[in-house]
Formats: sequence, structure tokens, C-alpha cells
Amino acid sequence: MKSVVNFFLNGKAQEKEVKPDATVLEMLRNSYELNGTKEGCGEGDCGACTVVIGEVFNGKIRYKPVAGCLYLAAKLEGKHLITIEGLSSGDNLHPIQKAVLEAHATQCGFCTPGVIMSLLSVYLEHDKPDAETFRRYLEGNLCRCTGYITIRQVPEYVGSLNIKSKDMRPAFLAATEEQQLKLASEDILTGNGKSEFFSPVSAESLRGFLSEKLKSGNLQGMTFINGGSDVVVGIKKMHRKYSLIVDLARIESLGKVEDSGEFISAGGNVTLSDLADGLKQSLPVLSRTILQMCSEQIRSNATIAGNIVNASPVADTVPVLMAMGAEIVLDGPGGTRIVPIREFYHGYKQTENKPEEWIQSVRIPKNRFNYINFEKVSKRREVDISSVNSAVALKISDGVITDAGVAYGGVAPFTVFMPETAASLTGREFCEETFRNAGDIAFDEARPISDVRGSAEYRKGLLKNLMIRHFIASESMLGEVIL
Amino acid sequence: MKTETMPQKSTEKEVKQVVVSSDSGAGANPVDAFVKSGKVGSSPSHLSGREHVTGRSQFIDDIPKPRNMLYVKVLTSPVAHGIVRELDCEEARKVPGVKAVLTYRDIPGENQIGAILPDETCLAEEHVHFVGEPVAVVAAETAEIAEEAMGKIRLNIEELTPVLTIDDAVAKNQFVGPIRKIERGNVDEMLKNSPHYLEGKVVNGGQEHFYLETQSALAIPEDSGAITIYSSTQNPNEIQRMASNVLGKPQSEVTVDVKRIGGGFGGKESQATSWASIAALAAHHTGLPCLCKLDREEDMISTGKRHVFESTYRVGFDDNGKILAFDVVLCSNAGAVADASTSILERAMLHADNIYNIDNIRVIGKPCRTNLHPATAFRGFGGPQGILVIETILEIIANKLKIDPFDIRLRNIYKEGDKAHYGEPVKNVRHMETILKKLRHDSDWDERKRKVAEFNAKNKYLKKGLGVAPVKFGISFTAAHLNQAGSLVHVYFDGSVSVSHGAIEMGQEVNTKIGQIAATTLGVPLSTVRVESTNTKRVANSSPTAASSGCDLNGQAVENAAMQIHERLTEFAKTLFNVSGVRFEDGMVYAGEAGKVNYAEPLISFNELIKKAYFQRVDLTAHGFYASPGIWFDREKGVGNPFLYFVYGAGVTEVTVDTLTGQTKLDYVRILHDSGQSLNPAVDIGQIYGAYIQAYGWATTEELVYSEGGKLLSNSPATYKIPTYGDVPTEFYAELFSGSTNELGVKRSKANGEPPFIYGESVLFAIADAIASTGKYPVNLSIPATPEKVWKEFCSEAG
Ligand SMILES: Cc1cc2nc3c(=O)[nH]c(=O)nc-3n(C[C@H](O)[C@H](O)[C@H](O)COP(=O)(O)OP(=O)(O)OC[C@H]3O[C@@H](n4cnc5c(N)ncnc54)[C@H](O)[C@@H]3O)c2cc1C
Ligand code: FES
Ligand code: FES
Repeated sequence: MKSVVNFFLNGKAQEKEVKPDATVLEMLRNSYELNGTKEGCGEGDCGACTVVIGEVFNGKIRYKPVAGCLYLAAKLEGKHLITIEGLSSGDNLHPIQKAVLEAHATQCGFCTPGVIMSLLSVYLEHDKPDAETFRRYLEGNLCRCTGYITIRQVPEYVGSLNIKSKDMRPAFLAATEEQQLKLASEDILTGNGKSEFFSPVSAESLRGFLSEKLKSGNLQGMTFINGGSDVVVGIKKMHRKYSLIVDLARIESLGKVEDSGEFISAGGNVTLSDLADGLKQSLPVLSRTILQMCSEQIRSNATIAGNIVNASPVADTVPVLMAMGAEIVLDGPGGTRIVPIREFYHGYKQTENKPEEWIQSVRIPKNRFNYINFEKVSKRREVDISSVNSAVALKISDGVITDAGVAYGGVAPFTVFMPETAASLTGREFCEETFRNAGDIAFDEARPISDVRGSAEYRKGLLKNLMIRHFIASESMLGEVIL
Repeated sequence: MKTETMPQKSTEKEVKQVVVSSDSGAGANPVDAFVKSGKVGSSPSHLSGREHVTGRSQFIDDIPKPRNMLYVKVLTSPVAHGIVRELDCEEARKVPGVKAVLTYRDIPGENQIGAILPDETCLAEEHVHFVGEPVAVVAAETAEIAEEAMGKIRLNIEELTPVLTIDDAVAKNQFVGPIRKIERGNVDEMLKNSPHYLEGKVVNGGQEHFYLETQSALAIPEDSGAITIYSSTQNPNEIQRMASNVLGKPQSEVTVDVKRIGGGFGGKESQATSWASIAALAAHHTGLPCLCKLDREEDMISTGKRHVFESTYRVGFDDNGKILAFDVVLCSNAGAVADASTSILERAMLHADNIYNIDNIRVIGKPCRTNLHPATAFRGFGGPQGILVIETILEIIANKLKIDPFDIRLRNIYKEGDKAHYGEPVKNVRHMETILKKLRHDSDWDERKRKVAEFNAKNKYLKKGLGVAPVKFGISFTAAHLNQAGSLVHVYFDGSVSVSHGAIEMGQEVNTKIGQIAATTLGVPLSTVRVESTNTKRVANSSPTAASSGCDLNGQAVENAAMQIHERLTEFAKTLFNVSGVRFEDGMVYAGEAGKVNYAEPLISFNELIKKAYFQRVDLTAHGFYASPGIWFDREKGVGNPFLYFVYGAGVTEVTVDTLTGQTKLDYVRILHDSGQSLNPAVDIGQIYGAYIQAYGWATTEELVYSEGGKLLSNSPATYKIPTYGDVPTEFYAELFSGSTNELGVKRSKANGEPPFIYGESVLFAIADAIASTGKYPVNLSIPATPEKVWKEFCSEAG
């Protein structure tokens, strides 16, 4: 166990004591005077603070864009933090920087370092990125000046520079990677008695640590953190105070995505990005769902477990999991237990797990359904929270629905499974009429309220209409493009 | 000159082609050299571009922190309207690390920062008038301490019923300024006698600027009582005036310096004043540097936005869709104080005609006082709201009479020689007709319309629609006195050039353009020209960088200064080399008159000439000045010549709308825009892109939602949604109109910061068109056409 964080900053090794609730953005600006990383919002929504983080993954180093304003500095252990300042030396610009300049893709310049870091993360991980990849990585970078059109032209300018993909890598990466791979992983406990950050590397040490804590009192003021995209927003924007933050992200045993043939199981700290990539073939609906959530800067660290436990009524992965009848495997000082996700929520932000219990994995049955669809409506199509979302999971044989799961978010204090609507689909022919009818049932089965993301009336309408979208999305209606 | 972007093609290449064919006085220079030369008409890259892409550019919070700098936090009103019963700062003062807690009682000068009308306090006194109004100030060693101390201030407010809506304000007769009228012809008579009559209401929502750099200012006390303020402002002169007013100092003791700002869009024209004055007040009391930087939520809650307008109209027209009479009352929601609301309303009134000749027209404007944050300047400055009304009406009429949207516009359009409703001749309006016709052709409008109809017939749930929005935008401040600018140009001993002017660099690349003007005028490479920060000590009494006029006015002032130096050097060189004429080009000096320059043998380099000139005691510094000629407006009578010239253009949009959810997707955009002889085509195209997408956000997803008590609920990017990368369609074409020039503009160019914003209104019309395809024109669809509102329109159609 150690109390300092060891990481690399633009190729240089660092050893630092950090405050449990300090973010990378704060650290860069306040203690390193590296001011190229900007704050545009402080809550993950603008991308001005984007940095690139290099980390060990499957025995290699991989790079990802991260929102510096939501990433705690204490989580940097073993990582390589790359900022805009690391990209160029003196007057020597990195090819991306040159391209941005030539494409006139910078106006006021405030978003520019973040845009460049997002682009860098694309080029570090993709040899021949396509337009869709750029969209995926840039949707989280707000720019109020350019209208994005010149930003979208940057890759073409990069292309015209005829740079080999290895030359897109800053020179210091190779040496840093070598050192990073050699680092031993160790538990960390930082901070003082008033506020602490504990980051274990194994479930055993976590269990031990929590057992001790339980013995010596209660766990009030404690929170788990994973990607931190909800927890850190709570700390910075809602001024929540925690005496103890327990990081689950470094526990290796929680990091697996497995396919047993019967179940797909996603570990308790698997990130949304990794899941989206990992499930592209085996469970494309969840992969697509995830890519409609957050932005890459967030998905790169945020987890499916966090999405579940955060218990937002509009969490996007939850309807899919609920419709499919997924199960949550909880672990804790008292041992493991399995809870169906349909029974996981008890009220607004009330979940089944005890404070000391963590999600070890989420198990999704693979073979029960053969048609699964997710629909989300938000004001803006990208990087926006749903007004209403919904998933259906159906078993269709010979054109007849024989088994159905239906879940909606945004229509109750938590995501709800809708048994009546599901029942109305079962035994019926797979046709538009069936879904229209189910839409009417759904309309009566939930009682949404009005808030900043939509009126009750609109949500009611969406209860009905998303059912129709579930039908349109099926092959029989291909040709009608879905927005 | 013509510039156009293809979806997968670079602008730069096109720009280069453009440059070959344009006559920019480049003489024998090869094209590439011309592009690099940075002369007027070429597209050199951003003057601060290297700083931006390396992260070295300094915004306020990036300036290295001076020693002992304090962090300032501002306690603001939590209620929209009330009487302050208690304001007790004692506990806050006791927090260790707190250096000052200040209220209005601590203001040494006058508690007044209203620039146009004196109705705005720096810190609230007995009354609070909107949620987010500054009440008390804490300066402490760290931001956390300041935050903590702020929590200890006891603020007790007795709540009064707030007035939040236009209707309410009109009923109570609450206005921030006089009600104005512009009228011509006999409206009432003609309304009665028109074959068709229509009345209705056009409503638009407000818009948060969402500049990426939030409001911030750093005030540093200097010796002998002076103070320097670094502020993220579009209006250093106003800050200098207001901060000195608050501090009770002469303006000469307050310096304001602005290197660049991280976006403004009008939101830092008058709304930066509060925070700069507050930082200055804290610095004055503590004797230490003070940084006041708002976080995003504070910024969104406290600062004003684009004006909500609700406009009722009556219109008479004939069978051909020609408008015979138009009567409109434009009501703006000005918020709690006047700010620039009267001027913004005036511009809306002056743009109520847009490009149409209406013989009988009456425009009335009412700036309503409510208990919301003071609405303020925002790209277009009332123009978009004024234009929206007449364009909406034309759409409705076109739909009613089954006239094509282009046709109805061409039937109503001004002809050369026509006068606007306020009496000014609409100069060069013939271009407008050419632009519309060309755009109709280039966008394949008629074919597109056919395809859209085909699509709509085939698809049950998705509907497409088309829209067009033209603009005539008047350039100049309508407050005539603001149409002036100063500059200061030095040539140093080594030949390098320093340029100061009064405009603010906020991404519109006024510095790049002005650098180009200075380089071209002096005949030196752009690389030797440095455009300095904007500083009230170097250029005094500057106007705000607004009204799209930053480059127009300041560019002329710089050209004027550079010209003075150029003339002195010309005389000097003629004598020195005993030649009858000289030409300065790219850092070299050649003999000869225009058209007969001997480029083969330079006489001397610019740098060497400067050395000689210095030793001969030639003045190498010049102050330049410019005031736009012939501008006046009598607002009592509603007549005048408020504009120097007009910018023209039009944009076409195609959208797809999902009838089940109301979500909209942009499919296609084409814009044809008049930049005169563009100073920098790439920059101008960039402004068009940015303005259109910003307007698209205003028209669709940017929704300001308030609580019943008047607090902004969509107060962060999590709930207030500006466009993202994926909103931009692959098919987005913007082209500069080649047929135009402008004798009155700097180097024959036209201003173009604001006009392209109007093209985004075509998004609304396209959505309405999509809805109309199901049977009924959505006459009440308003901006923003959010998914929810669009969905409602489809529902009402369904029954
Ligand atoms: C800009 C932005 C956009 C977003 N967009 C979306 C969106 O479109 N759709 C959407 O659904 N969400 C969205 N979110 C919310 C958020 O990203 C997701 O909820 C995310 O999945 C949370 O994961 P995390 O790992 O970051 O959670 P954290 O913040 O680390 O944790 C969230 C909660 O879960 C608990 N927790 C985390 N992991 C475990 C575990 N293994 N066991 C027990 N408890 C655990 C934590 O204690 C905490 O209470 C967005 C957030 C941001 C900042
Ligand atoms: S500052 Fe906006 S995403 Fe981090
Ligand atoms: S360049 Fe200004 S926000 Fe992107």
C-alpha cells in the first residue's frame, strides 16, 4: 500500500500526493501551470478539457480521450497523461496541429486544444479512421465558432501531409510505454482522515478493507467510484462531500467481458467504450445503445456498472438490460448474490445493493430473445440525456411473438419493466398493428412527469410512438431511415 | 471571387483557385506566393493560429497568476424580484483567508454600470430584479475559501411577484425605453382594401451565447492609484468607463487590455462589465490582484441572452402573394435593465422589411421590462427577430396561395432605387435578386422539391421539408456616434510593424484581416506585422466590437494610419533615389508608377529604407482615425440613413423530421453570400459556417427553460443543447457571391459576422414545410422548434 500516485505526464515520470477530489484539469492548471487544457463547463459536456490517457490494456498500451474535468488525479496511477503541451516542441507542430491551422479549423481557439487531443486519440488508435470514427470521437467537443465544418475537414489536411501513422505518435511515447508496462500495481490510499481515496487492485483487498471499515463503524460518507462521470459531477456541481472514495477501476477481476454461450457477462469496471467495441458482434443492440450515450471522453472511463447503480431514470443501458432480463452479480464483504435487474430499483435513486456491495458483473442472457431494439429520444441527437428511452426484447417464431420484455426510462422515478405492455405483445403476430396496440397499453401503463427535458404530455406520446419505432426498426421496414 | 466547399473537399484548394482569377493587385506574383503573402484577398492562416493549436494562447484564466492574487466569488440573487431585508457579511469576513467581503456600500464611486441608460447597479441595493443579479463580493486566497465564505453571507430577501412575460409587462406598462414607430404609406386603409388578410403572432425563444470561455476578468492594482483590468470583453472602452465610474477614478487611471476572447457573439459586449467592475472593486479594496471568473452555471444564470420576441402582425396581400400592407408590433423581453435592448429593438424594426418593398408598412417596437436576466446583444442584434416575422408571413402566404417560396420572395423583392421603410435607398439590392435566382439554380431547388414530395409520398413516418431564408443586413451601428475607430501603427527600426486598433479578436479573425490590411498598405509581408492586444492606452474611446463592424471600422482606421506612414516613406524614397514613383511590395521597394513598376531591380529593402528614414528623422508612427460618412437616424421620426451599406445573401435548407418523436435532422444546406471583395475568403466562409450552425441551434435544440419563479433551469450544457459535430450535414455548401464589390467598405470588402445567421431561419421553414406535407401548415410553430414542439404539431394534425 502506498500513498502517492505514480504516473507520467507528457513523457516524464511523476510522483505526487493528490487530494482525493482533485481533478486532472485542476491539477494541470493549478500545480503544473499547464494552461492549454481549458475548462469550458466542468461537467463533462464540452470537451475543452480533453486530454489523452495512455494505459495498460491486455498487455499493451492503448490511448483514449478523457474529460480532464471529471477524471480524478488520484486515478492516474500507472497512466500516461498527455496534454496539448506534449504535442509540439518549440515551433515544430504536430501534423494534426498543422492541419488544424491550414484547415482554418480554429477561430476563437478556446475549444481547439480539446479538439486536437480528441483527434490525437483517433490517430493513436486507428490506422485509417473513417468518417464515423471521427464523429464518434469528436461529438463531445463543443465548438461555438466554426460550426464544425472546418474541423471535419482536418483529417483530409492530415492526409495531404502524407504522414506515416507512426509519425503521428509523439516521440516520447515509446520510452514511456516501456516504463509503463514495467510498473507493478499496488493498492493506494491517499488523503487524510477527513477525506480519503482508496484504490485497490484486487477484490480481496477491497473486501478486506471494507470489512475493516464495517467493523470500525458505518460506511457513511463512502462512495464507490468507477469512471467517475456521475460521482465527480456530484462532487463538483452538487457540492457532495465524501469522506472516502473507493475506486473500483483498477480491480483486474472486474474488467472482463465474457461470452459463455448462454450469457454475456460484463465485469463491474468494464468501460462503456470497451463494451461497445466488445459487443459489436455478439450483442450489437447494446453496442449501439452505448454509442448513443455520453461522448467518447466519457465513455472511455464510464462503466455500465456506474450507469446501473447511478440509477438515473433515463440511464440508457438499463432499458436494454431490463427488457432482456439481465442479472446483476453483487459482491461484498458478505459474499456474492445475484439480483435480477428488474428487481434492482426500489425508488428514485434507490437500489438493491448495500453501500458496501459492488457490482461484480452484469449477466445478460443470450438466447432468450431474437429481436432486441433500443430507442432513445433526446433534444439533441448526440451527447444528450434521453427524454424517454425504451427497449424491447422479443422472441419471434414463425412471425409470432412468443416471449417479450419491454422497459421504458424517463416515464417513472426509475427505469421500469412494463409487464402489461410485454404481455400485450406476446402471442401476437409481429406486425405494425401489434406494436400500435402495445403502444396504447404502454401509454396507460406509466405516469410520466414534466421536467426540463420534456413535458408529461410529450413523454406520454413517446411511450406510444417509441413502440412504433421498435417496429419500424425491424427488417420488415428497412428502407425507412431512422434518424 | 468565389469560394465553395465540397463535402469531402478542402476549402483551401478552392480558395487558391479563387485567388488566381481575382485581381488583387498581386502583379506577377505566383499564386502560392500570393496566398502566403497574406495580402488582402488571400487566406493566410489565423494570426494566433500557432498559439491556439499549441495551447499557448492565453485567455484570462491562463495569464500567469500574479503573486498574492485573490479569487473573487459573487453572491447573486436567488430570486427574481424582491426587497433585501438583510445582508450580513460578518461571518463571511471571519473565514480565514478572506481578504474582503463587499457590498454596494463599499463602492467608492457611483453604483452604476448601465452604459446606454443608467439603470443598472454594479451591486444590488435595496431591491433585486433578477435571479443572478450580483449582490455581494468575496475576495479570498483560494476559490474554495471564497466559496465557503460566500455560503456564510446572510442574505434575506422578501420576495415580490416577478414579471416574467411580455404580456405581463405590456399589461403593466413596464418598458426599459420608449416605444418607437417607423411608418410609411397608409397601412390601415390598405389592410382593409387588400384581397387577402392575415393576422397572427410570431414568437422566438432566447439564446444563450455559450461562448466557450466564461465571463472573466483579472484586475491588477498599479502604483499611484491606477488599475489595469484584463477582461474577456468585446468592449474595453465601456469597461474602462464603468469601472472608473464605480471606483470614482478618472478614466485615465483605469487601463483595460484584451488580447483575445474565447468567443463573444455579443454576450461580452455589455455583459462583461459587471465582472470586470467587480474584480476592479475587489482589487481597489484589497490592493491585490483579483480574478473574477464565472463557472458555466453562474454565467448562464446571471448573464443575459438573445431577446425573446413576440410580435403580432396584420398583413394584406393580393392573389400573387404581393404584400400590400404590413402592420407589426415587435415586443422584446428586455429583462431587468435596459442594457442594449433599445438599440437591439431598433435594429429589429429596421429589418422588419428584410428584402421586400412594402409600400404600406408600420413597425412598432416595445422593449418590455421583466424580472429576467437583462437580455443583450447576440449575433444579429435584433435583425434575426425582425426578419423572422416577415419571412414567416411569406411562408404562410406561399403555403396558402400555393406559390413557390422563391417565387413569392421574388415577387416582393426590392428593386434598385427603392427605399426602405425608414427612407434609406436600398443600395445594390439588384444583387439580391441575382443571388436568389442563382441559389435556386445551384441548390437544384425545383428538382429537390419534386424529390422531397416523392419522399413524403412514400414514407409514412419520416417527412422532408425545404426552406429558404434571404437576408439584407444593414451595416453600421444604428447609434451613429459609434461608427468611429482609432488605430496606432508603429514601424520599428528593424522594419517590424506593430498595429493597435480598437477591435477585439474573438475568433472572427479581425486581427488576421487587419494584419492583412496593414501588410498590404505598407507593402510588407504579413509575417513582419504584429497585431497587438486591444488596450485603452493605445487606442482610446473605441466602440464595441459588434454590429459586424469590427474590421470595417478599425480596418479603415489602420489603413489610414498605415497610409500616412506609407506616404511619408514614399516621399522619402522618391527623394532618396530621385525617382518619380515608388512601389512597396512584400518588403521590397521598387521604382516606377502604377502599371509600370520595375520589379526586376528593387531599389532597396523595406527594412533598409526604414533605417535610413529613421536617421533622417522621418516619423515612423501614425495614429489613424475613421468615421463612417453620411450616417444618421432620427428615432423620434423613424427616418434616416442608418446604414453605410447592405450585405445580401440567402440560404437553402433541407431537413428530415421524424413524425413520431419530432426530431429533426439537417440533410442539405447551400448558402450564397455577399462579402464584397472578401478580405480573406477562408475567414469569411468560416464565419458563414459558424453563424449558420449557431442559428440552427437557436432554431431547433437551444431551449431556455425557466422555473415559475424566473430561474433558468437549462443552465448548463447538460440541459442547454448547442449543436454538436454530428448535427452538420455532409452536404454543406457555402459560396461567396462573385458579382459584388463595395466602394464604402475597407478594401472593397463587406462585413460578415452577423448576416449569415439569418440563413439558419430556413431550418424553421424547412421543418414547417415537412409538417405541412401532412396537410396543415404549422402557423404557430416557433423558435426553437424542439422535438417536443414539432411532435405536437404532428399530433394536432393527427387529430
Ligand atoms: C457528459 C455526460 C454525458 C452523459 N450522457 C449519458 C447518456 O447519454 N446516457 C446515460 O445513461 N448516462 C449518461 N451520462 C451519465 C454517466 O456517464 C453514466 O451514468 C455512466 O455510465 C456512469 O458510469 P461511471 O463509471 O462513470 O460511474 P461513477 O460516476 O463512477 O459512479 C456512478 C455511481 O455508481 C456507483 N458505482 C459505480 N460502479 C459501481 C460498481 N461496480 N458497483 C457498485 N456501485 C458502483 C458509484 O458509487 C456511483 O454511485 C452522462 C454523463 C456525462 C458526464
Ligand atoms: S470542461 Fe467541459 S468537458 Fe470538461
Ligand atoms: S473555435 Fe471558438 S469554440 Fe471552437
